[in-house]
Amino acid sequence: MAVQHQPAVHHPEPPSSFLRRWVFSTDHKVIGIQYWGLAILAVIVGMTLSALMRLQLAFPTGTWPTLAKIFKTGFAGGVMAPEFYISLVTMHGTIMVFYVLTTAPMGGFGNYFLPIQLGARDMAFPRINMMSFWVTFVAFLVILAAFFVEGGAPMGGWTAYPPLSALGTIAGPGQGTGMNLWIISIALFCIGSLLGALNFLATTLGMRTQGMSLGRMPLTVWAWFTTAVLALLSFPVLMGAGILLLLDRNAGTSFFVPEGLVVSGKMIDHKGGSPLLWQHLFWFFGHPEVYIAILPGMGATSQILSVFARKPIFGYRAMVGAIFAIGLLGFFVWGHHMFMSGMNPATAIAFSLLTLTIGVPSAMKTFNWIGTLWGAQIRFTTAMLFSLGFVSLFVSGGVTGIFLGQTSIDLFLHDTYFVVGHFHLIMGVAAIFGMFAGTYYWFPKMFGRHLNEKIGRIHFFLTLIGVYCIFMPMHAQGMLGHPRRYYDSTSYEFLKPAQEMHLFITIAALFTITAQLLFFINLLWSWKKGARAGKNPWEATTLEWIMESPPPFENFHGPDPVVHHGPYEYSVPGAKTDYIMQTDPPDAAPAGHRS
Amino acid sequence: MGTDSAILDPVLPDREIGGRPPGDRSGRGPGGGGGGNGGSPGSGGSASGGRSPIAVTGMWIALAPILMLFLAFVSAYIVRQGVGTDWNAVAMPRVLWLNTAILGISSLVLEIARRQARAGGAHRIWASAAFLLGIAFVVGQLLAWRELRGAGVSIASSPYSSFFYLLTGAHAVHVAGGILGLLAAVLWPQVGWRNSSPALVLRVTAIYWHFLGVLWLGLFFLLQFRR
Repeated sequence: MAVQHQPAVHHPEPPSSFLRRWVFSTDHKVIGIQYWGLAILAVIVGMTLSALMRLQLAFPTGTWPTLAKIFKTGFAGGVMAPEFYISLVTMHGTIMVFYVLTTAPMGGFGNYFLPIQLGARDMAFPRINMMSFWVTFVAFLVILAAFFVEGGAPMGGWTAYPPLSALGTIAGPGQGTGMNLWIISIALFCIGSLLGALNFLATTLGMRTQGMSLGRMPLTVWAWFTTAVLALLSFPVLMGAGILLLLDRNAGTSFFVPEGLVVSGKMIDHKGGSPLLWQHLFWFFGHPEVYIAILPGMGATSQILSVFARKPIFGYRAMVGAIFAIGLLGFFVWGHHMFMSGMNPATAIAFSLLTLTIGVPSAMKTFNWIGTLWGAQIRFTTAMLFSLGFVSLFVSGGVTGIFLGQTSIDLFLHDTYFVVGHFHLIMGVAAIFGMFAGTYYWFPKMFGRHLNEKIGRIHFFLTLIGVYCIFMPMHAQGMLGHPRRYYDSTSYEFLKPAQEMHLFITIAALFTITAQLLFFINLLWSWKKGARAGKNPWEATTLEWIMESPPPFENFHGPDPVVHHGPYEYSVPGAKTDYIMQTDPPDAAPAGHRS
Repeated sequence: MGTDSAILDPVLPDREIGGRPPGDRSGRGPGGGGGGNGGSPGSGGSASGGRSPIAVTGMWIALAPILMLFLAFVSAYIVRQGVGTDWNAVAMPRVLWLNTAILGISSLVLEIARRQARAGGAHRIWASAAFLLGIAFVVGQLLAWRELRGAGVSIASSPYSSFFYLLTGAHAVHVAGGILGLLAAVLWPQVGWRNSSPALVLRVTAIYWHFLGVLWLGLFFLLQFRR
């Protein structure tokens, strides 16, 4: 007679040592918080750099004795050095694009919530996941080190165009060691991101719990999944380009440096390379990178709009299709960054058409968001406000993309403040609003306490007004023909009308930065003293809301959750409550309802 | 290269692997020798439901970025060839033909090792052979480098030589990652991971190794015939 063995009840315990539990942890939730913390650290650095830039732009002749004490060479004699200004531009862009816009939405929220929303207990490869974070962290230290080496931080902009990025200090003080560190940092970052993307994809493909079919995955998961595909295919190209650049700088090769180049009165020894080759490789990565930054924000926004509108997301399948379409098209539009490079006009037209095509899935998403809100009983929480802000900024920043995507208009607007205004609205601020929305929405789950909603709402309105005041006037400056990266616009007669706008923008920027103190205070205060959050404070349906806040080690008590419903079952006619959780029994939805 | 670590960390403690029951999507056969399905009771049952172990899925995914890296290099090769007049291709060291043969044979030997391990046979001797052939390939590549350097051809001599060192070097670094995977299979169980098996390690390494073999054929063809 066979003896039936009852499976022992599995009570996973976290590692007992502090180092293994909180520092070198393989727990995806700890890693998610680490990424999120790294992004907050990085955003503080990046924001400080932008404040210094704004001071210079508003007061080009100003002297700053206090700053001279901190930045001895950058502010020698109390005046900002032009080289230092360019370093600030470079480091601001690099830190924000890589260490904020790529780490928080993907590494932070993605790591924390992708496994839970799929019903998995961890990522597919937890040790690779840990490695992914720590490689990224080291990459961040390397880029910061560039401030402290001889010659200071690099000056090549976040795009690091050769030949000037390939030549060393002859092209500027920061182009020596600083530039080498920049390349190494970015290469490390690529490795970290690839390891992360590998985990996201393997987990989504292979670790979904029972009943979690692809069609029941929340749009957040679809967004992270698509983002991971983009990262997986685009970061290696940047890494390859970085290796070539490093060889050009240090091994005497000539991949990117043309023949007969004279820099600072000296003939350069390289032969026959092509600077345009770098641009092609860089932007093959660079354009998908824009979507790596924004897609997770789209996912979070879709999720949050549906939760607080108490309605299913409008057009779930169309939304998934639109995410994929945006991701796919993102690989075929890199040339629109290079209209000025002398490319064949036929090629430019092709890139232009493909670029404008991205407007179609983007508009689909926007209309579906509006459709979700249509006729809804909206709960105006802070997370909801930031999601609405995301939609607003996405539209404002997206519309100017249609201007820039046309070759004839781009020839005039290329490298002007119009571009700066455009990409800050859509890639910078919209993505940041996505992160704010995510933070206000998921903080209760991550830390077991609510962020203060009153402070949150004030934070939202001040920030929304602030960012529009910063970036809208930049479009006007761009139409005046104001080139970006200029250190002092008062030295040019035609830029005189732009100077007052610079002053206005700087005031708005300092105002907005100050308003962020509310957010940081709210974080710290709520972390310790915020109102306790229950399991499901927002009455949402997805799996992260079925367990206590914060979730236990390995996410789920007892057996794995089993999913019976789609992710957006709100206000189902005939149901007992206005939301049906994904794990509710099949009969929670009235007969005939398909979920 | 960072993606090599997929080899080094293919299998996880039971809680990560511990089977996820849902539908069979992969269509591939059950995991090699039961590797990686040490699902502990209570964590969701066993992973023997006909689905590939997650390490196999991960390895297939990891091939994509490696391919992209080399595609970036190769497109740079083609573009750079087309600009300037300084391409100056040099004759490739003849040892590369031998190396190519060695790598091909190593793939066959590893394939035998993989099948032996799956069938519970004598995989160690075959894995050891594949490991030694892998080392021989890398040494052969270094000999090729030495021959070129002896002829006064350095990485900075010409665009062709730059790409020669770059492509062979980047490929050899990836092969080194595969060699570590083979080493783990040879030294099992002294070197290994909980709830894994030589069968799984060999299965994952074989995917990677065959890919590198095909990749090498492409690079060899490029360097030899698209000079």
